Amino acid sequence: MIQFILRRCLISIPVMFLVATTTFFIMRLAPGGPFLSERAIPPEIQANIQAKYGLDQPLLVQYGKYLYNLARFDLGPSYKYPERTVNEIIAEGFPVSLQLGLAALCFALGVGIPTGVLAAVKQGRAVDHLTMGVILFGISVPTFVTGPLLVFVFSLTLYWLPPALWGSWDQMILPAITLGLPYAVYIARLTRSQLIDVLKQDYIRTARAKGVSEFRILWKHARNSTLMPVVSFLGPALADLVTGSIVVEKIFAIPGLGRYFVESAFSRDYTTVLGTVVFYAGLLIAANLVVDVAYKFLDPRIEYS
Amino acid sequence: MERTPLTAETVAATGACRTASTRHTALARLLPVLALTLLLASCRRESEYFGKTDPPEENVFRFNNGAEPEYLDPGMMTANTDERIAAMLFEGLTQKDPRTLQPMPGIAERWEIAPDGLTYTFFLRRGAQWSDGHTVTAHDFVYAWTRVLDPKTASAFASILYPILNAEQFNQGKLKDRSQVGVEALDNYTLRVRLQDPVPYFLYLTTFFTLYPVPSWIVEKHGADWTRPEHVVGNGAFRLIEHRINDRIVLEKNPRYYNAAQVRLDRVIAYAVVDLYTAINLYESGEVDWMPSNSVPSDFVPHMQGRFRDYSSTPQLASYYFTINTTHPPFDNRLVRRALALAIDRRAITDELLRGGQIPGSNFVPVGLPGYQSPPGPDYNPQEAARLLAEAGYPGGKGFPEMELSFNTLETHKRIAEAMQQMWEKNLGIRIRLHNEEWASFIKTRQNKEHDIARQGWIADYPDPAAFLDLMESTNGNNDTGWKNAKYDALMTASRKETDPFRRIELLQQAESIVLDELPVLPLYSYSVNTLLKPYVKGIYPTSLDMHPLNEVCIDRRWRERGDSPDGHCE
Repeated sequence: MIQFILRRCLISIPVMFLVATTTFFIMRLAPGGPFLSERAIPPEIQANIQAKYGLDQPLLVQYGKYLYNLARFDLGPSYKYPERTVNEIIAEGFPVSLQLGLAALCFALGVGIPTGVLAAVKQGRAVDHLTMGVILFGISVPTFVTGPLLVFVFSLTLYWLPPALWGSWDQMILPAITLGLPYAVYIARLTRSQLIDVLKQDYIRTARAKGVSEFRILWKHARNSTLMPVVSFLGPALADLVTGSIVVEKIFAIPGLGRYFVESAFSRDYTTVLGTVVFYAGLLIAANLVVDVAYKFLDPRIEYS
Repeated sequence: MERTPLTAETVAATGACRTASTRHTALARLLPVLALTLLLASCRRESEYFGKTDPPEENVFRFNNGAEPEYLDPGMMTANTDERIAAMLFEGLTQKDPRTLQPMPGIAERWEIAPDGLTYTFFLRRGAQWSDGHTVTAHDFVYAWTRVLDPKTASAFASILYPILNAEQFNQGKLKDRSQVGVEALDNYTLRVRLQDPVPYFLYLTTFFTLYPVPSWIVEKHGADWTRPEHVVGNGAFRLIEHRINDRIVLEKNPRYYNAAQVRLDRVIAYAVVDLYTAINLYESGEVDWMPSNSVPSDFVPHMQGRFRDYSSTPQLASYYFTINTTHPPFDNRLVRRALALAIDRRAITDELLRGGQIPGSNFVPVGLPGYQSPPGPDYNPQEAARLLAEAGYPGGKGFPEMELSFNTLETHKRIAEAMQQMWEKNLGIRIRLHNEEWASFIKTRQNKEHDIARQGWIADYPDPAAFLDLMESTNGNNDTGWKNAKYDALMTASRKETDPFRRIELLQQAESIVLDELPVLPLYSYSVNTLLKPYVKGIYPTSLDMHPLNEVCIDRRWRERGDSPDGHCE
């Protein structure tokens, strides 16, 4: 097992190197630069600004310096917000994205599993059709529609919840629902189909024949085998939630890391683009590793070579 | 490289591909529809005001500053989002009157201007302190100004100090000795400034953020980190207590401010909400009290005017125009440029398309400058336009090469460009392609003069016609037209030396009439600023530069009895 983890860590080094290199050069291919402004800056000043950030050096020298700093986990100052370093931007933004992702996941589990169970137990009945209809809606409606709709109802009509911003628990509710909804419906579907399968198993029929209560069957006998696929979905789902919240962060003005993905590319903030891309790449690699290790624990039959 | 001719639809589509984020663009397209539904729904409540009107429980003023400030260092900043924060943290020699923006005593109690207009002597007040207890002295200004001009600082706004003697030479490295720059502390409380030319707006510049003093001991100690909440020291009405990037900046009243008795807010929160629809939701639900500077989405604007008392639209000293690249045919021909200008129905663009209070006009200097009247420009005249185009050798547009109109990707710019395209096709029979680019590429294209016609907007830094007319000088870095006119340059040089204000205005008017005759630019309209301000906020007034000193703002809890005018008091 340790050997497996070590090998995976070693393999991830060239992967990260490739990600860093590709991003560096793609970014530099885009026209314009970070210190362009509508107001023309005298050429002497422009030259001074370029020199201050080392942008006047040959590209390969810049690339070398960048790799050297990256190896020391120093992502440099942001070019768009020069009073901040990219390390700081990530340190401030990532916990927010993580919180949002976790809140969304809690919502997805809290709503998805009970709904799925209900639909499976009442299979073919009105409740089942109703929940599956809602699920279809939940899958097909994108977050940029759900978000404003929720805001309209709960913030601007009922005045129950704040429409945006981040900091208190009530500000977390709407974004967590918006972001978590597609995952909730996915989990509900997963739970429903799995539970339907499980309930058809012989051992369940045996339990029923012995007169075990319906609740006890669900809780004692069907629970673990039903939740297995849900648990294995959690790892990728969390990574996806944390990295995929750009739209929700925008709608609810949440100071997470997602927005830098888009905005720093527009403002040619080279260091921030590189920093966030490399950070997310590392995060995804780590998340995948954790999931693989977790599989191994959950199902010892899995072999890694 | 040959570019495929673009229709409006493909422009939008390629724009979407270029941003590599279709979700994002789809969002941008759907949101207005949704937002509009929300707006209409809220109108059903038939309130006189947009959203909640209950003052916040605490004595706090909250506004949406828009973008995250790039700098809090006044010597480095360039944007008005940064300015709003700096104006609370620092105070210059003079400060702006909140209604008229005219300079009034700030750190300088009084000043003397020599008859030749070249020497200013400022006498500083004695009670002014930095927030760490140091006294504010004339040396702090000398340090701050020479720091901005120091080539090593690489301040992007250093050129605003160029009216000062030797400032330009020092900034560009042609002069090494900083003591030659025309700013000098005669003693702790006397500052003498010598100018290169007697520019009449210099006193106004002393209200400007680039000329704020900075605390040398803090700047030297902490370097680029000096504006962090834990380090920063200011001399303004407020001090910084929290800064969460891309979220909020929290300020509280500075008890050491010399005029602290007049500051009636305990705290100010400036949010950095970029999405306009999110921002307006925050305003509607009463989470923010002020939406400055066009943070009202443009598709809301036509529905707000005249319906909500907390909405206002004010003409701004800012020009929307198109820059023509005059270096190659057919646009090197003055007749062609005139034909283009005469074929634009500006009123249709402002009154039917935009409907946001913009003032249509062919004048280059925007309307609303006291004491200045633009000479007549090329107003809408399609017959004359067609005649001029024929005279230039393209009767009915025959033989006219297909040229390109570039703009940065934004819905409003696109709609305007499409309208222009149609007008030129209808009135002149010429076909112009539209080309959108995202901001950074667009700026590069225009500065490299790789455009034919490109969108341009300019906001005055100080209320003077020169803020615009300087742009068209052949040596000006912002002149992306390639147009050079010796007579124009001579008039501008003469205006700078002229000490008689009336004579100076005449010279500037003559200069503008050359622009309006030669037309290296096609002016469309003067901007307007659309804002929302809760009726309980007092002390914020509409101004032509969209600058709003917040020192004396207050929250009136009894506004329902006393009325919603921004004048008035809160006790």
